[in-house]
This record gives sequence, structure tokens and C-alpha cells, in this order.
Amino acid sequence: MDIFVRDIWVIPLLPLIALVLNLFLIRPLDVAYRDRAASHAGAAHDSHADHSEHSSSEAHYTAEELIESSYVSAIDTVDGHIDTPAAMPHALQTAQQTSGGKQAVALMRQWEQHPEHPHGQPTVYARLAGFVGIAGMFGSFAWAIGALFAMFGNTALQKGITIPLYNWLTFGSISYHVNFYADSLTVVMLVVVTAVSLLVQFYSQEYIESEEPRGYARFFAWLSLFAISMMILTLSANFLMIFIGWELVGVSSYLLIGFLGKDAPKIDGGRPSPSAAALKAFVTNRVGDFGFLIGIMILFAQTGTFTFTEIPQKLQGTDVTLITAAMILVFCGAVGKSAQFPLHVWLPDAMEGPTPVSALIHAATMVAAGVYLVARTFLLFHSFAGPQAAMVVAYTGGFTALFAALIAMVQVDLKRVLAYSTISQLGYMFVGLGVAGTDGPGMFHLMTHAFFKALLFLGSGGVLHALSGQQNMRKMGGLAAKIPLVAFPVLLATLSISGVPFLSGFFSKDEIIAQTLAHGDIALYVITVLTAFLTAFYMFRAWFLTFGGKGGAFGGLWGGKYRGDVHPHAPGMRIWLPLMLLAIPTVFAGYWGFAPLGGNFNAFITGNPAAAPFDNPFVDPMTYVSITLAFLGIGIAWLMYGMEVIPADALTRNPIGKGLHALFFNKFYVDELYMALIRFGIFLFAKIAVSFDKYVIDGIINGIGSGVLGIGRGLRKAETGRLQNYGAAFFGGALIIAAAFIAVVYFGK
Amino acid sequence: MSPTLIPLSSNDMWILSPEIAMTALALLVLSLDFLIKRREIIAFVSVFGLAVPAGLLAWIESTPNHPVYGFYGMYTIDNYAIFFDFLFLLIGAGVVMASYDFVQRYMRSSGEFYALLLFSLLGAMLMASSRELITVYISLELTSFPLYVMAGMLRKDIPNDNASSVRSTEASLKYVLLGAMSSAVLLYGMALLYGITGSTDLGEIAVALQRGFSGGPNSIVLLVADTFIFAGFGFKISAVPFHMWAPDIYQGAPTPGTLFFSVASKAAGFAALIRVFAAGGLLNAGSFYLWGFIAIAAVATMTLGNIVAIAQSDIKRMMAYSSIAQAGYILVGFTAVAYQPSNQTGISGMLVFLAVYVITNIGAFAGIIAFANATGSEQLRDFDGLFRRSPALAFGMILCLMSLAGIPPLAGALSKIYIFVTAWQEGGLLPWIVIIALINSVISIAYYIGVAYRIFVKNPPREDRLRVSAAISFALAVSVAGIIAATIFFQPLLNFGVSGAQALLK
Repeated sequence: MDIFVRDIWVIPLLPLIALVLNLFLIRPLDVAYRDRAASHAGAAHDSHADHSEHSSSEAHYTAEELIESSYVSAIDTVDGHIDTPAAMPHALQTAQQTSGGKQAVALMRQWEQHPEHPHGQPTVYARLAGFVGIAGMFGSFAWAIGALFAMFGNTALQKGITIPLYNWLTFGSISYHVNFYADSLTVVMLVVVTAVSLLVQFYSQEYIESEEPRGYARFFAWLSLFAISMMILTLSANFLMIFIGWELVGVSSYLLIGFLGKDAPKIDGGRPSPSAAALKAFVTNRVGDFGFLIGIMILFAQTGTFTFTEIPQKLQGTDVTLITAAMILVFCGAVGKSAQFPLHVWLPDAMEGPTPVSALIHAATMVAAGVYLVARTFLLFHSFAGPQAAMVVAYTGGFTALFAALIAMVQVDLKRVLAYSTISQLGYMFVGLGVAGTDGPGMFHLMTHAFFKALLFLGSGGVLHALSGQQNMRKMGGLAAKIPLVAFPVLLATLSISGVPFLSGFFSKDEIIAQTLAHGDIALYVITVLTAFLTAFYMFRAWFLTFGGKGGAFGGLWGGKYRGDVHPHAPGMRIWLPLMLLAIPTVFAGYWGFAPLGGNFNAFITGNPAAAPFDNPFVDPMTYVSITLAFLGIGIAWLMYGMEVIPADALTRNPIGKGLHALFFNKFYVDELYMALIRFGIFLFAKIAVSFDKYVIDGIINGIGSGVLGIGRGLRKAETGRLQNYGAAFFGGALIIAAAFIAVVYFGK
Repeated sequence: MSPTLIPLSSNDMWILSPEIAMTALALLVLSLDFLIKRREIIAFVSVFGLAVPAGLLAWIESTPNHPVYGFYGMYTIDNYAIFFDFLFLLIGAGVVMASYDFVQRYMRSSGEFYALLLFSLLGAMLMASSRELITVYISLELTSFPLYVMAGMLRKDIPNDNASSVRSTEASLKYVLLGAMSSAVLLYGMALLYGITGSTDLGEIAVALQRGFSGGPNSIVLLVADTFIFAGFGFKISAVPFHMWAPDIYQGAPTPGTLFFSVASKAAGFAALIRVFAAGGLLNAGSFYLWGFIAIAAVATMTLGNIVAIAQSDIKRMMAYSSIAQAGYILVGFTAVAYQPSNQTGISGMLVFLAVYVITNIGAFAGIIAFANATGSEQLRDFDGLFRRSPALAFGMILCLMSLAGIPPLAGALSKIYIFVTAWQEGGLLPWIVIIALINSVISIAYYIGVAYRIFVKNPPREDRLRVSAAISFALAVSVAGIIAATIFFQPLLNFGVSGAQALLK
């Protein structure tokens, strides 16, 4: 069994093979095959292509190219709208001549969306790419499960072993080694990552087929790339590698958020484009990473090593203030990646990516990387840094949890509600890591949350799929009766996140709330309990608005009036099966931390069999406070949106309620504040910098630059192109050097 | 003395087998060109045929205690030669793939081009393995003659440039004449060396030089011999002041030819230069004057290359000067070796730098060729907004240019840092040379990143999408993958280089 841990490099290797196959073999085949299929279709319309030969000059050249290039083989658009396939080339020519290439490109894009377009379905090769990706992930998942079982009862493995891979570089006395490190923390994270990745890839087959069939193979390649990056991040034995993994997940997240491109079709307006969202995510994360990098450098300067296991040994006796500062800087990276306040702004926008991506990256795995980082460096936070470091972690988490829950209460976009809920739950994890004496509670919530949140997102994807992309909850309602196979698992996940007893979310969340009280932090206790109440409310608000409503069964819980205008169509097996599978851990994963049944997650994650298990929640009287609050939240939501006994605007009729609603609805105006800061602060600073640059730096550089350029231009003249000169220079050069030697030797004597 | 037949052993044939396979492959390609005029088949045979010499090399290399010397010490297959042989085979595969479409469009004789390329690589492989001056010289000529022909093979004007085929012919003629001059100078240097030591065998020369001779290390005859030999190889590696052919011929030659000159000719030149100077004991017997000469050549080469590159408007000329500058960085390593002849890190640094340079330059030129195929232009200004016209091509080119510029953490940066650190540690005047090299690196960013700026920031002249053929995409992808692999697995590459350096200094 040990082999699963000792050869844990197999886990990233399998998706790597899938990635290479997909990117370099299957995708080119897919593209080539598509072109061929298209040119067959185009052959039927050769008579149209002939038209293009009458035009002239450059426009002609491009138009001809475009017609050759398959996309425009058969299409009729005169004023930019697609009607029926007929004489397209004429329209294309007009577009070419009037506005250059731009309009023609736009027409081509439009044609690609057309139902009669020959690429409407993924090719055989594209489907093969999906199978290859899934097969690779399945292998990784099986290996990760093997590693998990190998670790059960094996304390030596739980404490962690280093798996040396190779020596990257030796410069003098410093050697940089590329090593993996596997302990129970790593393995739990890997199981979560591989399980969710596998199900999401399976799910994506159907989802991406309807969203963007032309990018099918590319999408699976990027999903594999993401999985590899996440595994590198998880397995890294030192700060250098974790940073590489950290940046790699950032890149793959960028690629996946922006997957649908600049002008993805949208039912409702007013949302950012996927490309803009991808850029925002990338740039916001850089802010956090800047701090992270400085933190790593401070630690390296103090210890001379990047390795997690060596840093604590070499930190003995170092200035506590410095380590505290370093750890807070490292935490900045986690704040960015895990979308905590004040760097949370990218996550809601990232919802513009395809929904499977939201489930995989922006709910279950990548955003948990920040939590994982803090858990990985837990010892440094709690034993070496001052208490302030852990305080910063806990209070950032607590504040964010409440802050995001307040925003989530009033959003009308289904995916945004889930996005703010993710931010809020990540806040819980940081509270757990900040207050508790072990990383158990935080990691426990990470694990359970990954499953039920992935389920919620995939479920919302099922809804979007059924409604052809509609995300506005005002245009939903009563869907439980129409798509019950999606609704049932989503209901379980909603109950789980709301903290209803006996489901996984209840156990993990309650443990964190109990920890705040056990460590005497009343403020955090109030915040977390209040957030739990809000969570139950907004999750059930979302449930009722989407799946329930007045007139449904059980007082509006199941089915009801549908407010939308798109006819909902039931999703296929590839969509509902992953949901059902995710429902299993959503219900049962929590029992790993339930002491009366022998579950001791804490002992496993710390690698210490003597570690006390989590308290039995049913013994603690305070538990019933949170249970009551959760049911209260569900009840209020039921009354307001299920039975519609209380009108939905009951609280917002008065001016205070109205003001608060506006404040929450506009996300506390953080985005606007940042834009203002950027506009006035940074642009002002930039202007000053520019003028400094212009008058001071440029003066110096231009002096040097024009000098260099001048020399360059002068020397360029030496290249006369005349053979005689070159020959003379060659012989002359050799002779002058020889003569110089002779002179030096003679006169040197 | 009556001529005696010298018996050859089977070992001799075994260690020569990669070269024999290469000869057979070149002849096969040439005859395929007569029999079937199918470019696909010829290119396929050329690329995959390289697997035979590569396999033989790997077989020899993996055999423990394989014979190292053959033909009475004239010829060797030590790790140094194996390192270069693999590099040359890689160049062959890269250039054939990158030239696939260009050859068809503008040369109309694909078989000839590939056969010449293979013959030239055969010469280069022999050059890396020769331990005897006459063999070195003959191999050098075998490498060079195909190059002269390749320079003149542009038969059809590329669009937007009506004089290109004329310029190609001109380049070919210039190359022949200047190449002949350089050979003459090289031979003269070799003759002088023979005169001093009484042998053409590098091992015996080293012994003779060590034993001492009239005049000592500052002997004028030795210094003049050094100069002329350096000039001869300096022509190949385009070291200043023997570089003047490079820009004209790079610009005039068909672009795949230019790519080939910039990697194969340079690598072969360095292979022979390092072997003759290090194994021939010239550096050991050298004086401070020799060191000073090499140092001045290194400084002049990189400085001139970088400064003039900034002022170029044609991307091929820019790349010509860039390749001169890169040769300058390698010469910094050579300066360290000249200072301390037992410095094997210096030699391994040069080998690794050269390998990374070769991989990267193939990618950069594949990008240029792809662009020329799609647009018919090789002017820098036409690269404006390339990112919007072909993101993948733009990305690949940028990665190659960044590696050439030495932006961390890419392999180009690692190999550059390695050479500079090695030179710095030698002490003496070397840190000053490293400082000059660092300033040069900063200057070089101006033109490499200048291209990146054009590609990413400027507005494209047209909004069309560029089409890149499969073969050239593959060449670019392989190069990019090579850069990434060399970045991730730098130490294994370095270990290969170190084993080569150890073999050379043994």
C-alpha cells in the first residue's frame, strides 16, 4: 500500500499525459478534421465562391481567403443578420470593402453560432479528447484513494514523507531540489481535488458540447492543466514549488474563466465579458501574490531554505516580529487566492466562466488553496509568529464570512449568490485555522464544503443548461418539478450548507463555531453564528426562487410557478449523474469527524493518534443555539419565498431597510471604490510617475539610448555590402591582431 | 618510405557508424529527389531518418566502456562529441520541419536543400569528433560548402521584395569568397602550429607544447598561429572582427538557410574551436596576451552585436546581430576557460548555453518563417499586433525572444547566469568582463522586448487571422517545449554538458 504514497508523482503525471495528448495530438486532429468536414460542406457552394473573384485589390485577397477558410461557405447575411444559408460571399465582400476585416470577422463569428453551421457538434476527435482527460483524472483519483487508504492507521506516513524528484540546479553551495511532500493534509486535499475534477470533467462533456463545441478539446486540455497545477501546489515540499503551482493555477484559471471569449452570447445584459473577468481575476491575485512573494523572501533570508520541514528548525531564535510580518505577508497570498476581503472582488466576476469551471476552480479547489497554504504553514503561524498573525487570519475570515453573507442575501443572479456564499464559507475556514489549536477544523470544513459547494454549482449549471443560459433567479421558479434529478441533490447540498443536523456541513461548521467559543473569542462566535443564520436564509431564498415557490408541494418547497420565458429542457445523464455522486459525500463526509461513531479527522490530519477528536456536537448545549438559528433562517426564507406569506419587500419598505438593501445589493460599493481609487489615486500617481519618467529618467536614458542608437547607426554604415571591404576587414583584422601581438611581445621584453 | 596499408578495426567502424548512417541518409534523400518529387516523403525521410544516427549514438553512449578513440587517435567519440552530435541531429530535425513550406514556395527544390543540409550536418558531426588538424579542416570544408549553395537557393522572389532572389545569389557568392579567405587563414594558422610542434594530432601538439619549445609561451609564432586559427573559426561563429559576412548573408539567404547558418555553423565552429584550443593545449601554453585577445574579442563581439541590432529594421538582420551577440556571451565563457584552462565548469557552461541557444533560435526563426509564409514580409514593423492575428504564433515567438534576452526563469537566463557566475568566480579581470556582459544583456532587452512590444501592444495593419501550417507549428511547438524542458530539467542538461567538458579535458 505504501507505494501509493511513495510514488505519489503518478497523480500529476496521468493528467499531464492527458494534457500532452490532447493539446499536441488530439486537438490538431480535431481542428484538421473540422476543416475537412467544413470544406466538404463548402464544396456544395462553389458557385457562390466564384462571386468573390470580381472584386479587386487587398480586400479581394482577404475575402477570398475568408471564403476558402470554410466558415463562410454557406451563409446569407446582408445586413449583419443570419437568415438562411444562401449567397453569403456577396455580403462578406460588402463587409470587407466597407469596414476592412472587422465586420467580416464579426460575421464569421455569427455564422459559427448558427445552427446550420457544420461545426455545431464536436467531432469524434473532440469527444476522444474528453475521454482521454477523464481517463487520466480517473487514474489520479484512484491513486489518491489508494494513498488515502495507505495512510489510514500509518502514523509515520500521516506525519509526512519527502519524495525526491530531481535536482533542479546546483550553484556553488546552494542546491535547489524539486521534491514532493506527502502527509495526511496533502492526501486529503488530493482526494478532494481529484474527486471534484473527475466529476466536473465528466459533467463538462454535455455542458461544453452545447456551450462551445469548437473549443471542446481545448477545454479538456485546460481542465487537465488546472488539475496538474493544483496537484503541484498540493504536493510541493517547499515555498518555491508551491509558488509555481500557485501561479500555474492562476494561469489555468485565467484561461478557463475567459474560455468563452470576449463576445460570449448572453441572455441578460449588464454583466462583464468573460475576458474582462479573467483579467480582473488575474490582476487581483497579483496584488496578493506580491505580498506572498515578499513573505517567502523574508523567510528565505532568515533561514536559507524554502523547504517547509526545514524552516521551523532554522527559525529558532529569530525575531518574532519579523516572522509575524512574514506570515501576514504570506497570508496576503491566501487572501487573494481564497477571495477574502479586501481582495474578494474577482470571484463574483469569475462566474462569467463556464459553470463547470466555477464548480471546480471557484468553489471546490483553487479558492481552497489559500486555506491549504495556511494549513500547510500552520506551525509557523501558531508556534513561531506572534499571536497577531493568527488573529489576522481569524478576523479576516470572520469579517469576510459575515460581509459576503450580507451581500449574498439580496443578489438575484443564481451563480453570484453561490459565489458570495463561497467567499463566506472560505471565511469560516480561516476562522477555524485562526482560532483552533490544530488545522483540523479548518481542513474539515474545506473538505465537506468542496463536495457540497461543487454540487451546488454543478446543480446551478444544470439549471442554466435547462434554461439556455438564464442566470437571473427572477426568471426561474418551480424548477424542482421540471428537473427533479437536478433538484434533489441540490436540496441535499442546500440543507448541508445551511447547517441542518446529520449532514456534512453541519458537523464541520459547528466544529468551527464551537472552537471560537472554546477559545473564548466571543466576537468571532457572534459573527460565525450570525453568519450561519444568514447562510440558512440566503441559501433557502435561492432554493425557493429557483426550484420552489408559491403553489409548489410542501408549502412551496418542491415546484411552483415558473416565471421564465424559456422552455426548460431536462439535462442528460452526464449532467445529473455527477450530482448524484456528489450527494454521497455531501451527506456522509461529516461523519469522519463525528467522535461517537469513531471518526477522528483531527488525529488523521495532524498525524497524531493521541489528538483529541472533535467534540460531539449534540452534547454541547451551545450547538442547539446554532441549530435553532439555522432553522429560523430556513423558516423565514420559507415564509417569504416559499409560501409567500410575508411579502419579499417587507423589510425594505422603510428607508433604513431600503438603504441597507441598496448597500448589500451593490456589494458595499467595493468595486466602485476600487475603480475610484484606481482612477484618482493610481492614475494620479501614474501621472506623477510619468512626468518623473519623462523629464528625469528619460532624459538620462534617452541620452544613453540615442548615444547607443547613434553608435548603432554609425556601425551599421560599416556594412557596406561590398565584398572588398569585408575581405579587407577580415584579413586586416587578423593581421592587425597578429601585428599587435608581435609589437607587444617585442616591446614587452 | 613506402606506403603501408594501415588495417582498420571493427571498432573504428562502430564509432564512425553515426556518420556513416548520416551519409547514407543524405544520399538516400538525394536519390529520392531524383526518383519521386514528393516533398512530403522527402521531408518525412529526412526527419525520421535522423533517428538512425541518433539511435546509433545512443547505443554507443549507453555501452559501458565503449571505445573512445579510433583511426589511430584521429577520431574520437567522447562525451563532448556525443553532446554536439545530438545537438546537430536536433538542428537537422528542427530546420527540416521549419523549412517545409518555405522550400516549396520559394526554392522549388526541396530534395536538394535537405540533402545539402544533411551533408553539412555530417561535416559538423565529424568536426566535433576530429582530433587531428587536417581532419578538422576537411570536416570544416564539408560543413561549409553546402552552406554556400544553400545561401543562393532562393529561386523565386518573396512578395513585397522584388530583389530577394538576386540578393540571395549575391549572398551565396560573397559567402563562398569570404569562406575561402577564412579557410586560407585557418590553414595558415594550422601550418604554423605544425611548424612549431611537428604534429597535426591534437594530443601530440599538447604534449609538444607542454614540453616546451624555443620562444616559450610568448613565442610570436605561437601567438600568430593562435590568432589565425581563432580567425578561421571566428568566421564560423561570427566573432568580431570576423563577423562582417553575417548580416548580409543572413538577410540575403532564404530564411530556413539563415536559420541553419545561425545554429549549425555556429555550433560546429564552437565545437572545433573549443576542441582545438583546449585539447590541443593551446590554452595551457597560452600567455596573458592570448587571454587578452580572447577577452577583447568577447567584449567586442557582444557589444557590437547588441548595439547594431537595436538599429535594425529587418528582423533577419536583427537576428543576425543577435546571434553575433549571443556568440559574444559564449566567448565570455571561453575567456574564463582561457584564464584557467582546467576550468571544466566554463566549458560545460559554454556547451549548455550553446544547446539552449540552438533550441531557442530554431523556435524564433520558425516564427519568422511562419510569418513570412503567411504575409510575405520580414520587416519588423509588419510584426505589429501579431498577437491579435495569431495568438499561438505570437506566444511561441515571445517565449523564444524572452529566453534569448535572458528573462528569468527561462532556460536562456539560467544558462547565461551560469556562464557569468563561472566567469565571475575566476576573479582577476574577469568580473569586469562579466559587468560588461551584464550591461550588454540590458541593452539586448531593448530590441528583443521591442519586438514583443510590437507584437502585443501595437495595432495590427490588418485584422485577418494568419494561417500557420502544421509542420512549422510543430517546429515552433517542439522548440517551446524544449525551452520549457530545459528550464525545468536544467541540472540534467548541465550534467550532460559537464560530462562533455570532462571528456575534453581528460
